[in-house]
Amino acid sequence: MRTGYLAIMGSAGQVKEKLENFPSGSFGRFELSPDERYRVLGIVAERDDIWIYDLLEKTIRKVTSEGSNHLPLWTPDGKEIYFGSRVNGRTGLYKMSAFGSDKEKLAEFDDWYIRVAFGSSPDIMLLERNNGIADASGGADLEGMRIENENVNWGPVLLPDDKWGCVRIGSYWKV
Amino acid sequence: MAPMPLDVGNARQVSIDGGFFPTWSRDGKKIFFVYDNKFFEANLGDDIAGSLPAPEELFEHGWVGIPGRNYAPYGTEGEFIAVQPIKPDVPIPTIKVIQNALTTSK
Repeated sequence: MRTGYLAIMGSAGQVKEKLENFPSGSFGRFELSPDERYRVLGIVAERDDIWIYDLLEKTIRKVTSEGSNHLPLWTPDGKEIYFGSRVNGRTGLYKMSAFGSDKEKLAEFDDWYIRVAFGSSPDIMLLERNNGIADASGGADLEGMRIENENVNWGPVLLPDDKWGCVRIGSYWKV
Repeated sequence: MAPMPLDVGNARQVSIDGGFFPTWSRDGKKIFFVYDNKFFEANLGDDIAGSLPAPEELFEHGWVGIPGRNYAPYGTEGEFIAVQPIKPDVPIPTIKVIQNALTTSK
């Protein structure tokens, strides 16, 4: 059952435009493409899938067809999408083209979710797992990377200048 | 906010009473976050490494929980795309049931 709808809100919080044509199901995390035309989002319906919504044409298409897929994110150049996909009790970090083709598994974990955050390029990357965050910038061995910052989670974001990150720290929801 | 490479030991606290799901504005000069059904903005300006301003409440927003941040800054005029709570368009009709009405009216 859907608990909300997506809308463009004005700076004062008013609804300016209701976005239409979504399939039934609950929304997951969504991210705008760098050019702000497309939005990639998870929708929980028959299964958890990744969808791409065109804000100009108001159309949507599904780009995953297997596994339980979550937490998609555009690369800073808008050419690829990273996402997590859980199959048979293991969660893979995948990437695919912005059109949903050429899926490639980059790493696989026991965690139930995987999330990444990018700086100016995919080479500047934070890897978030169940139990903390690793600075995976330039890291080739994502599966062997040591996870630190156990009290830091829930969606870090990086500035494109690669100098600052914004994270949630602690159990009191401090930003 | 923490310096990169990620150095949480030197992080500085942006929110005062609490906050979650932070993100940067497109120009990187502001941090948005939410707490207690309210949107907040910390306007860092050009001097990100300088003193942190007190965050300002922008507006209240009926929160819809999704797995992750449920809003994103959009455009150049301070807009957002967000998940809005569904409110009934029409009042839910009520039905009054009077038991044994004919009996009691006699």
